[in-house]
Amino acid sequence: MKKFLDPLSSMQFTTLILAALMLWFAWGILLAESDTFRQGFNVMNRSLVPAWFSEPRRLPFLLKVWFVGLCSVMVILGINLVFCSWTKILKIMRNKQAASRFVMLIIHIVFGLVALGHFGSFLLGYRYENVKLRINQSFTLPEGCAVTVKDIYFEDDMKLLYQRPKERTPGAFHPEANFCEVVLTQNGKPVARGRVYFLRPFVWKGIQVTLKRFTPPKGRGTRDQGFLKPGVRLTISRNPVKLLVFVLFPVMIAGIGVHMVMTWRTRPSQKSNSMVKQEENEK
Amino acid sequence: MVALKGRVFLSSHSASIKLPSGRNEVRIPKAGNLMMFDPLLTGYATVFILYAVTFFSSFMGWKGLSRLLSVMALAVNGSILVGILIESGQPPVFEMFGGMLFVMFILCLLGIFCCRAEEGRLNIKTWVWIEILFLLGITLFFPTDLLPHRYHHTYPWVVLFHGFRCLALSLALFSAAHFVRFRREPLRKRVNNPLFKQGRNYLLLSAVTFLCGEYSGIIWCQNGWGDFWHWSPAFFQSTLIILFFMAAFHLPGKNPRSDNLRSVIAIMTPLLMLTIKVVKGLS
Repeated sequence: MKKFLDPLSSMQFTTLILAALMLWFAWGILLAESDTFRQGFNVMNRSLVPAWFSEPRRLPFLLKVWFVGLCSVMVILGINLVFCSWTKILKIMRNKQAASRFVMLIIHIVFGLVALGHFGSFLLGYRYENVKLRINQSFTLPEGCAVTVKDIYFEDDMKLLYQRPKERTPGAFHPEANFCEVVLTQNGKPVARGRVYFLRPFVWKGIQVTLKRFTPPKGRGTRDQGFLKPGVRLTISRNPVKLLVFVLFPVMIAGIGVHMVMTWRTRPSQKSNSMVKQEENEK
Repeated sequence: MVALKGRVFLSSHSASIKLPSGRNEVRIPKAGNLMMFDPLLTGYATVFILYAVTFFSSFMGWKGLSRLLSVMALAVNGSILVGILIESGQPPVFEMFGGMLFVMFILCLLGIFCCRAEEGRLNIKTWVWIEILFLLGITLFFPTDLLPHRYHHTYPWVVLFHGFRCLALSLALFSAAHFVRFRREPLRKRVNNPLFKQGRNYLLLSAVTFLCGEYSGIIWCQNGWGDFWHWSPAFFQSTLIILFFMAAFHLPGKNPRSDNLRSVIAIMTPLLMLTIKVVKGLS
């Protein structure tokens, strides 16, 4: 059993996996920067994992290989983490430098959970990007829910709607004055109503409505009031593991901070000094 | 004679007057005797000279003079940052020029107050001044223009994200100064070396601040895009930096060979952070 456990929980193995991950992400950067695969990454951002693989040509084959490879390396890192943590637990039980080792163990467990949370966010819930809506238009969600835009308030110059954010005159756009009002319905009954601003999404029971941008009015040829006002482009998402990640991430940072304070040393330890002297004597 | 009322924007290339209507803009080219004085460029030149003289005096072993000059450099550096903050209305952490000056300011603070007293010409402080001169050299290739006011540049999570990143870079560079100094030690002195321990402490502190930046980043991403992860080069680059930090702390072995390898990775980490910042600044 020890022969089997030792290599899997070893730091050499961890270093190898980290090196593999570095190479993988470096490759990912090259892929994401290339024109050929950028669109593929946009698809990955727009939908969750099941959708990437359900349609044959939705995602380039190389991106599928890259993602599967990334998941495989992460699984191996997870196995290493579990075995390494197990051996740490054994050492803590033997009470060797228990306090700092215990904190280290917590950091590793929390890191594992944060990584799992990230993976879970690719699989669970839903995500609809670039949902274009105008006044009184709705978007249907799973579980009988729907989002309806009740009103859109755009107080600034309409010319801004035709400009890219970087082209706008500084200070011309006022984010606090421009927003849209949405109503969330469940089985046809309104359950929540709220405003969506830039960087201030509307959230109800895990369903998040995020304002991405305003779109220009449709045109003058129509009598419909909704088409004379600007539209909105929204992202509607539900991520059941969001809270887990948002709570555990600071716990992990705090854990590393505590470990740093506990092990902050500037002078050589007595034990190490004696070891060095012993080594010198042996020589 | 026409009296104009409005906000004046100064840059190294031109001066512009923006009228209260927000539409009219008068641009005055900076030529001849019209505008000879650019406060930012003058401040930059002053700080360059002060840091260069500080390095020289530190290298020559004139401790008192070096300390005095470094405090003067810190004061000028700080006043440029305050000037940018007042003039642009946003913290100097976004663009390359302001961001680098902020990194230098923190690095100088660390160099003055957190360095252990050492004999010899190429001590830790001297390496810190070399690093600052290196950063000033990089900054030369970027415009000194102030960024126009963008609404998200005052959003707390965006400010924290960029601010923590600059802080992490400063700490990683300070740690690298320790590791460079450690690598210049004779082999027999590298065992259980306090320089190595201090370098490790600051590298860990850098990792903590970098993770704080990442946490701010995921909140920004969640509120702005509806998800805390994005398949994009920026996210992959951040992950690559985290992996470098992890590699530096997970290398196996407690012997001089492992410490040497650890020190190499620790020196490479701020270089990677800097490369990513420069590439982003260029794009």
